[in-house]
Amino acid sequence: MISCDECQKKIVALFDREGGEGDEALVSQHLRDCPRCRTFQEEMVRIREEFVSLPTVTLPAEAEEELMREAAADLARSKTSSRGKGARSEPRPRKFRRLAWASGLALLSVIVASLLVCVNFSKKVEAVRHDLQIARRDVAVLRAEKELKQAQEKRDTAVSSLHFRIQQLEKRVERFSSPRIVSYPGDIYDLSYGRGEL
Amino acid sequence: MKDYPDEELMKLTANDDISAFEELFRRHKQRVLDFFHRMLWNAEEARDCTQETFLKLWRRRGQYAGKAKLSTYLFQIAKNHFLDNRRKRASRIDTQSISVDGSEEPFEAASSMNGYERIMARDIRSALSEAVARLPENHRLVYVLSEEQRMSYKEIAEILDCPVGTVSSRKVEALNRLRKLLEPLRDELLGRGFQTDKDRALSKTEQETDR
Repeated sequence: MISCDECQKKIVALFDREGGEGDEALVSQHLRDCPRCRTFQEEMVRIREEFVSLPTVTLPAEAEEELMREAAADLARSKTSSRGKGARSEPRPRKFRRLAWASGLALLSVIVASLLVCVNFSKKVEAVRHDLQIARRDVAVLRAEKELKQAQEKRDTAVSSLHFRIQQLEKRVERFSSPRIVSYPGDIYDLSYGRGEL
Repeated sequence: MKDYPDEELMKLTANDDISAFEELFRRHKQRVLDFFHRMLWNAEEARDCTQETFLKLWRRRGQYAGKAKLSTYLFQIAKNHFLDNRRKRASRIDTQSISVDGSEEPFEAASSMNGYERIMARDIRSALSEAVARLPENHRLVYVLSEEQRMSYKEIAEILDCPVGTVSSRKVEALNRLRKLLEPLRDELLGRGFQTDKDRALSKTEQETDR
């Protein structure tokens, strides 16, 4: 059993041919036991009949003539302004629609072009990045080679200085080991002189 | 051109064809006029609004996309014109100015009515006009579009730009308000002290059949 509110809503909908399937049975069942909703239905029908039978008014023939005159004048005005300004003012929306289509197409082509540019650019960036990696590797190799060369040079310098020192030491050894002593070396003489003084 | 559907006529109108517009006006003028008359309860104002609505239709002839029915589009313009008009005036309907039968035309009572019946018929119509005029705008729009124009809830929802459920609940609400406003005349309305034209015709037929 449906409530009175629901029933009244369904009654109105049924009279407006908007009722759902099974609504009629539900309403009939409710109306059998509900005098309140029966009164509602009766009053609704009466009000509807009265409302529809209310007198109507009509438009005089001059109203139609006046309207058509106004429409014609409006059309003439829009045509004159389109001739004068080189652009139609009426009906604007069609013009705007064409403009909108054109601008839409232009926008679409710009988007497609920029997408292509982006794809191309990203490929280029990838290639440059690859080249850069190779260059970095080359630089590292060159740097290592340079360091190696420097180390070799240092080693050579050290070896030559060692040779030179060895030569000097050999010369000295030769000088001290000789049997003919012509004079004392200065430092020995100085030492003996100091000893004498002490 | 009389056989052309509305949408075809509107296409021609969009191409500046005044005769197509004229045909559209002839087809829909009475419906639009009735709508304004029931909404405003002033015949002169209703006539002006009808002319202005069609002029707006003419000026917006290029905007009709053809998605909705032309009558829906036309009544959208009419509804917006009505609301703009009300806002401009910023006043409710002066119910005192409503004439007895809601029009300026003389009240045509059925010839078979006696004096009491004539007065009662006049009273009921006057009370009903006043009660409808007292409805809030949204409820009145739904009630008039549904009862006067016999539009479906879907069409009304499109015109008022609201859900179908709202239309249905506003219709019931409008009806309950009308019942409340007409409560003093309930007996007469229900035919306990008064008969409508239809009742009278029925009873007359019955009497003739009996004879």
